[in-house]
Parts: sequence; C-alpha cells; structure tokens
Amino acid sequence: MKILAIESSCDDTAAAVIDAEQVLANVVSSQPVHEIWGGVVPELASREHMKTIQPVVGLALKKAGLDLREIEGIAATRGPGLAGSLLVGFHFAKALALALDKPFLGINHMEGHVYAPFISGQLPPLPMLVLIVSGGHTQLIRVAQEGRYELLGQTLDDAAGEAFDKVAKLLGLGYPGGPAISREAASGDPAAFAFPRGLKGREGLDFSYSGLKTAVLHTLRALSEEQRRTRRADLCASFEEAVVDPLVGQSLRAIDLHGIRSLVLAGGVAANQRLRQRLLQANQGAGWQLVLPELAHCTDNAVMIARAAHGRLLRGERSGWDLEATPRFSLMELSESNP
Amino acid sequence: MIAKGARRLESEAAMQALGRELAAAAPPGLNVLLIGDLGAGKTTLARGWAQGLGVGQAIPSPTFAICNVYRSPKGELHHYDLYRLEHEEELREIGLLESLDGSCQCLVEWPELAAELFRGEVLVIRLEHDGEARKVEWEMKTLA
Repeated sequence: MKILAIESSCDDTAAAVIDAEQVLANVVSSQPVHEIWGGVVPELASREHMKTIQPVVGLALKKAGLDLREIEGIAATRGPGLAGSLLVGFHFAKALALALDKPFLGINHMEGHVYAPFISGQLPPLPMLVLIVSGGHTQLIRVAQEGRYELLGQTLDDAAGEAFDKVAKLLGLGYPGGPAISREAASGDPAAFAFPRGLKGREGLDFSYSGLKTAVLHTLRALSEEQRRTRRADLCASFEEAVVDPLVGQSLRAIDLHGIRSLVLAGGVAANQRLRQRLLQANQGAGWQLVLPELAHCTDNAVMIARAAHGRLLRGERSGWDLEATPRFSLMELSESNP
Repeated sequence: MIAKGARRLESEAAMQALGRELAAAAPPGLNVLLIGDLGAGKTTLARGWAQGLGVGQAIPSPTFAICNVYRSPKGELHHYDLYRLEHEEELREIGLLESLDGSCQCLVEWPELAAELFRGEVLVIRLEHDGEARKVEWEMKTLA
C-alpha cells in the first residue's frame, strides 16, 4: 500500500511516502530559525509550517516518483504537539484526502515513535517496553498487544529533553541542548560532580528531573566564571549521567516487574550516545531484546507516521472527516478509543 | 492569608504545601502570576496549587506544551508557561486571553511577556533563590 504521511507536531515539517516496507521518500525541513531563539517558538513554527508544507509534500512525491492519484492512503500526525503546528499538517492532509477521495488516518505522534525502528511494521516479541524520551515526554509504556498501551511510569515534573535544553541554557550552550551537552560531555568525567538521581530509592517507575536542573544551577553559582569554562566538560558529563542513570535503572526495573521480552528506545533523546551505550551494556547476556532506532529515525519524521498508519490502514481503519488535531493526546487514550 | 504574605521555604515539600494553602484560600477565577528564575520553584508551587484544588493526576512541567489544563472539583485550572514565547502576538494564538477571563483559575509561569493582558484582581507571587532555600512573597493586586 502506497502511503503519504505528513508530520508537523513541533518544529519540523516532514512528509514521507512508503510502499509497504519500502521507503520511497523521506523529506524533513528542519527550521534553523529556532537556533537563534534558544527553543522552539510556537508562532514561528506554525508560520514556517504554512510556508513549507506544500514544497515539502511536493518534494516527497517527486522523490517517490509518484503522482498524488497513485497514493492509496494519507496519514498525518493528530497529536500530541503544539496546536498551531499540528493544525497545519493535519488539515493539509485531511483536505488532500477529501479532495482525492483517499482513505485518511490521524496518527498519534508517540505511536509513530514506537514504530520508527520497525521497517516491516512487525513488532519485536511482546510484551514490549517502550522508553519514550523527548523534549515533552519521559515515559515507560508496556505493550502487551499491538495498539494497546499501558503507562507504567512517567516524569512527575520536567521531561528529560527539557532538562537538557534548560541546563544547556544555564551553561550558555546552544539549542537543541542535547547534542550540545553530549559533545561537551564526551571529554568530561561523569563522576566529577555528584548530581542527584531523581526518585532514587522510591517505589514505582516514575522519573523526576526538576531537582537535577536546580542542583546544576546551585553548582554553577558556587563556581567562578573561569571554573565554569574549564570544568564545563565535567559538568556536562556528570549532568548527562544523572539523566541517563534513572532512564536505564527504571527500564531494568520495569523489565523485571512486568515480564518484558523486548525494550524499544524512542523519541529525540534516543539519539543520545551515552543512553544507547548504557542500554547496550545492560542488554549484554540479558534475556530481553533491545531495539535502538537508527539515529536518522530518532528525530521527528514522517516515515514513522506512515509506518504506524500502515497496519491500521490495511486493517481498514479510517478517521472521520470531522476528526480534529489534539495537542494533548496520550497513547493511553488511543487504547481506550480502540477497545 | 492570601492578601499578602512572605515565607522562607527549606524544601520542595514545603513549597508544594504553600501552593495547597494558597489554592485553598483563592477565589474562583483568580489569575496568578508566578515570577522567578529557572529552578526557583514555580512549577513546584503550581503542583501544590493543583493538588489543593483536588487534581488527582500528575502535574508535569508545562514548558513544552505551553499550557496544561486540569479539571478539578473546584473548576478548571489552566497552567501556563510562557518561557518559550518571544512575541506578544503569540499570546493570542495560544489562547491565554480566554484563560484569563475569569472562567477558570489560571496560573502563569514567566508571565512578563503577558504583563499587559492581566486585568482586575490578580495574585502576584515572587519566588527567589536564597542559598539552598527559597523566598516566596505574594500579594493580591488590582490592575487597571
């Protein structure tokens, strides 16, 4: 089935065309304008989406060598995301499907991340645990049955990606914060500073990163201007370790507690090398399968939306023309609406 | 207690407790400005406030989503964070004006950009770092 998918939930406008397992086109127009602002600015994002959506979709079709009429299904991210950004891609796709009389499906962005590593759309052994780590999310989700999601734990305050961005800002590093901190951290000592580990010693599978951000702030205040520069690599490495430790620890705990057979890493922070390395170590000789997405698939893209849509479209699932984009849309709601 | 006050808080738990206390005394439809630096405790206080209203679910940072909406036995609570916004016109797009019209309680972190939009009775809460502790001052004000 040839599917055109559109993703515009945050600052990237993306379009992709897949034909079953084959990716025919994958276009992502990143918006470097945000590097100037030190964060994603919603208004800028939705304006940029409006400018770029048509060229991006046009380019995807051209790369795929297909005419719009040859597309057999159209999918778009319905949420979660920034309202103004979501609306652009979602309604563009819906209008296109309506005009061409093609099947249309609104897709949950997080489900896209879950399917990102699976070219065939075939999931690894269930029950599977998904560790979603991004700018807006830090969640552990159990999937015992395809399309059904059970929340095991989540951040009680800041998301891991948000902690990266805010600490990068404190350190005077660029945006996005993750890559900037990781580059510095590579030459630093992760044990140089004793930063707190969220909810260590507490029951449950939740996360907390707000105290870590504050601890970095206090540490910085106690350092001289010069020390902040000379010890930057150590600060970054110690901070990164304090983010990664609970992610790995809680995942392993969830695997033990919930009879998990496979672990899938998803979301923008899945590109973090330290996190990948620590999970690979933990997986050595373990009885569960580890799935790390290719680096190119960690950031937002439309291939993952197409993959999440593929199985659903084949099963005959369709969204109504009255379906709206929903900025707050959890995977768990998805399970409720598909009993 | 809500008209005016100040307190020095030694812990996150104490900050949440203050949020619960203020929420219990707050009239319906109140707009609240939470002013303070990164890590000063704005979201922690807001979390206590939401708990005080009887919100049962997790109350994460609104930085990424800009606004989180909670239903409580005492009406809706809109929790904003304007940290990532740069331009005043963006405030209209995110629906802040509608949230401030008294139909719900509204907590706004990093409210500086929206200073012009607040009208009538508001609660201004200032949070400051004080070593490892935090200083919090609050006052009801009437804005013309």
